[in-house]
Amino acid sequence: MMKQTLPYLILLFATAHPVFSQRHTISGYVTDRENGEPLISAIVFDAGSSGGTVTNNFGYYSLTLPAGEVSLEYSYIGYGKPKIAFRLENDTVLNIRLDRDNMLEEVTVIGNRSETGVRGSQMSAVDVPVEQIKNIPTLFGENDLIKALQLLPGVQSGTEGSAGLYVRGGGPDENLLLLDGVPLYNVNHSLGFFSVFNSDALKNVSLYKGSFPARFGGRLSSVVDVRMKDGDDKKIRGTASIGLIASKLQLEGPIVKEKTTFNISLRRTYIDILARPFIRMAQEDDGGDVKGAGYYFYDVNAKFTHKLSERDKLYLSTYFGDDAVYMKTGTPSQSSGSEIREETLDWDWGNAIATLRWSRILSNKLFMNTSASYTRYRSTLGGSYRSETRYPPEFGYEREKEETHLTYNSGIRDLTLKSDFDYTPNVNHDVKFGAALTSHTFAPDVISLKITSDSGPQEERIDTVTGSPRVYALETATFLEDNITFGPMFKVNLGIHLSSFHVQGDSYFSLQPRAGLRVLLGDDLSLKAGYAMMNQYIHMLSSNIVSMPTDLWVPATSRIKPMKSHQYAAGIFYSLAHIAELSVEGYYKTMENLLEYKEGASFVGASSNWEEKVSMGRGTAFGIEFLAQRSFGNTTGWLGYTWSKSDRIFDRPGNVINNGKRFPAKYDRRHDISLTAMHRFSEKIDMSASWVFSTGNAATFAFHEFTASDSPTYRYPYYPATYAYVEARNNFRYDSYHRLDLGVNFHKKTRRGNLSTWNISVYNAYNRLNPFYVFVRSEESKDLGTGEWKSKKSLHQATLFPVLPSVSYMIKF
Amino acid sequence: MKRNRQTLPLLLLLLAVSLSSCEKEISFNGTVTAPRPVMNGILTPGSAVSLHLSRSRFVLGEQTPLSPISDATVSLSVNDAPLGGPLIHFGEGTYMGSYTPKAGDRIKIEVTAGGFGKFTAQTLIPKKPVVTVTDSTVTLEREEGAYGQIEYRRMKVQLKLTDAAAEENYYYIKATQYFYHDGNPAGEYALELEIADILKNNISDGGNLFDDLFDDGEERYYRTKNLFSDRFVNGKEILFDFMYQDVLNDDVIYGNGNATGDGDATGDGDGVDGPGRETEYVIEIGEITKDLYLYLISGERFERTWESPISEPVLIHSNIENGIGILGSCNTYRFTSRFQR
Repeated sequence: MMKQTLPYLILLFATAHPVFSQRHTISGYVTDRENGEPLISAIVFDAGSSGGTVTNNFGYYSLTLPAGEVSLEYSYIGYGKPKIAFRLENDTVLNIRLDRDNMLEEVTVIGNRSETGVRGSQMSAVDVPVEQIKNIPTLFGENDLIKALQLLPGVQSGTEGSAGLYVRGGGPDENLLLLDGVPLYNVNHSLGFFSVFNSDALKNVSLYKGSFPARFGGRLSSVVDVRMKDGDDKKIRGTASIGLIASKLQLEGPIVKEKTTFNISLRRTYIDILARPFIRMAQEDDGGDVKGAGYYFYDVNAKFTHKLSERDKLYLSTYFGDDAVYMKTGTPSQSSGSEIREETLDWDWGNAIATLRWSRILSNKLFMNTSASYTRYRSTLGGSYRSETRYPPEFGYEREKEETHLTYNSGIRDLTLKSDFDYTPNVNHDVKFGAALTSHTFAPDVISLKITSDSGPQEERIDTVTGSPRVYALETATFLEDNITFGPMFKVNLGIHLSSFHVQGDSYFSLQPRAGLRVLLGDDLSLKAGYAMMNQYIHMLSSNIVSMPTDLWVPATSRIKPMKSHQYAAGIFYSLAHIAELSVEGYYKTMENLLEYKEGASFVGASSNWEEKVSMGRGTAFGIEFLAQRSFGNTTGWLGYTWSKSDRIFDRPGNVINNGKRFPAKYDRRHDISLTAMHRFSEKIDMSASWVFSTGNAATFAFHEFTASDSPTYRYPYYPATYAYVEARNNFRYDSYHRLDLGVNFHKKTRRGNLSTWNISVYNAYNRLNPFYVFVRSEESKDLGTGEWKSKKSLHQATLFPVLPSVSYMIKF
Repeated sequence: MKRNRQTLPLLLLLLAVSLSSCEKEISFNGTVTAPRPVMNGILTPGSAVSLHLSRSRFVLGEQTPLSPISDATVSLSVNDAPLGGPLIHFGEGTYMGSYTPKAGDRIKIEVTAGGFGKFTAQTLIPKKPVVTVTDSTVTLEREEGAYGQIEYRRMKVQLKLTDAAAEENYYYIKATQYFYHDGNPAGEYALELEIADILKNNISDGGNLFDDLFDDGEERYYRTKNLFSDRFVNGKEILFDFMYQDVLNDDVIYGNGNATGDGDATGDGDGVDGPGRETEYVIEIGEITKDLYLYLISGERFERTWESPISEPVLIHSNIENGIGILGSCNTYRFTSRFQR
């Protein structure tokens, strides 16, 4: 390792050191003039030297150029492109505010930012503008980041409506979902039909499917880097919306003008509130004892930004959200008020994150970002029973009272300290390095029981905690990456990610090289290639069908090794000026130490002896992704197509599945098409449509039955003596999945100058009954002629969502 | 307000319709595969080779009975040497030969039958487990019970099995009580087997040798809880402790809690008691082939989970080449103890 690193550092120092000519550095922030929001990935380009850079996640840039005349152009899609020409004689700070340019009539679609487009060295990545997410028609009109990502090539959804991401043959637990740099462990609401990301709070979303930069680690298949808005630094503004199942409110503005800002977003569903009178009426009619029952979820995003000085900024980002199911039953009085009984059930699950970040410009070439963060996911199932019986005086004691509280908790909690640096020694290097230390606490299942029983002369108390013990683990990560420009044609991104994981006396270390290459073959055409090795030290035990609150994160152990992947990718990127951007990418990925439930095992009760319920195996995935996108004019959109194959093999002793033979992965799909289009008819009306098609999910079916053998080991005879013959795992394909969603927006300026929008959406517009679950049903019937009973088995399909219209109203103020 | 009253139920109706699932029968879009040949046979030393051949059936559509294969030619070879003529069909798919396997025999069965290609299977007859009796004690005891004095006969048996080192071995244990009247069989009763109790005396410095077996997460069900492998005790001596008791006087209470005043002290419902009655305990420790072990374990898992939509489907283990089913074998040590009433 040292043999490789040392020459590289010498080379880096040599090229970075300003001995060849006098150089000076121009640095500063690029922000939106109207609201002061930092612009991420804005381009800064010097026409004279053809040198350029892009702003980082805080809108900061640093560009070192030879002394003399410079002509800088700042550009960001949807904004004007100011040019500044001056003579560079000293290090210079240039904070630039860009004006939104409505005359461009250009809508940002996806993937055309500098680092992910034709000219950037990054491949297998797309930037998804939040405005775009808001325009895609969705289930119940709830615009959703994860659903938008599922429309991109190489990204697949799980079952109907689910918020799971299956990226390039990987599983849903192999995605690193970062909200302001902090991992979220469960991004699902309502069993995965909605995600936790409230798009009103978001500014920027980047998805990496491969060729991962060295700064990311810890997951095999993708990184979704979501950034929240800082908040307007000049005036208070916001949006409010009301939809079929949820309402949202977002407020942002200055606390101290141009110094301290806030951005708060709230969302809550209200099915429970709407249903409350109906439950009450039904209970009154039937004489039932349900006092209340319901389900809801809510999200709160909040971000505060404070400018300490021209060089220092503090950020406090938080998110917390919960899903809750509750039920309360009871008999208020029986036998003349002598007995009271009450039962409650509460199930809450959700995430909470908080991060305090300090960014500092250490020098005009070195930018530091240090953060302390907390993230936790927990699921709490609680039940209680209370009864009280009062007795007449002749009993000798007044009453009998019993109270029982049982709670079941599971979850994961992380505390992370992280520091990373952006160093731009000259125009040919863009170096990032840093380190992170994370303390994980896994709580697979903790059961607490409290019983208080007071029956007059006797009193009994039980207060106990049981379950699996907490597991503590320490994870470290360090990284170094450099985006190097070699002349106008070549750009290379080299990096190394070093990580370690320490749990229960075991330690794992991993050195992960990363590399990316761009060869520019003309202004509009480039070839790219990339390689990334990734390691993942934590696993999620889940149902594989829908996201459950009981999905459980567990660490690598001495028996269950960390997952590992190697991914190779290559592609062609072409920009057809003013028409479309085209790209074709191919990838090949191998994965090791993947987990699957053993035959007959289920996720129910997986927390106990979970290591015995899973097998460890390998997987391969390969495919070709095609993306064509149009980002100009009134009609915009994209067409994505993926051909892919993903399989698994579990053949190691004690881990055998499918008799050790290769089998298709659960969400292996040969074809995946998504077509998304938006058309603006006028200032007042625009429309969007998306159509998706994919090969049906793989499932395991037994299509034969056979006579079972008797055995001398049996202690009793057993009936029925037939078994089902499962030829292989995932031996059956559901029908292909396709669906058209439509949406239309009607915009209007109110008398107060606010913009109001009515949105009407139709999910599954042509009512395709897509398979959610397929099963064999057995029916018995009596032959009226012979009187014999006959049995018939048939295949049945359950569909989750037929055509679903929805309406929402939003006002921006 | 009036408009609100109309809107709210409309919204709720829409929501209810939205969340309700639709279900329909669908046609099978895959290939309806032809029946597969099924071979089932468990060979034991001292018993003539016997097999059952049948066809699998496609599950969709009207159910037809599982049909036996009655036109097959079944040939047998022992240690790679073909043996005599084909096995004879005794009806209903049962084929028998005259050869009685011995421990160490590698038995290969080849079957050709109309509509199927050749399907084959082989098995190695395990050696008889090396078992010694380390303790066998019978005591007669009396106790005061709720309904008078109860007279017990308690039998304690300790058996020691020496597991063969450096090889995978799979075992089953079984204990049965047989009843005889005037020398004629008069019923049998499968005795309780708590494997953790039976193996409780296998103690080493680190605790019970089978602790890992008891804590391995594998849920043991009635049908396979008497099976175990030597995974945790390879090459070691294994102690089995059995203790059974018999109530010798009439009108007593048995383990099931029911008083039997019908003159049937055995509780087996055969109505036999009194003079001429004998009882025999048979304890079996058998070695079975790995294929048979896997077949039994996977079969049990299948039975337990096949209707569960959340469980991963079970592929039942088979060692039949070009077919399905099992050709297994076992070799059993038997401890017997017979008492007069």
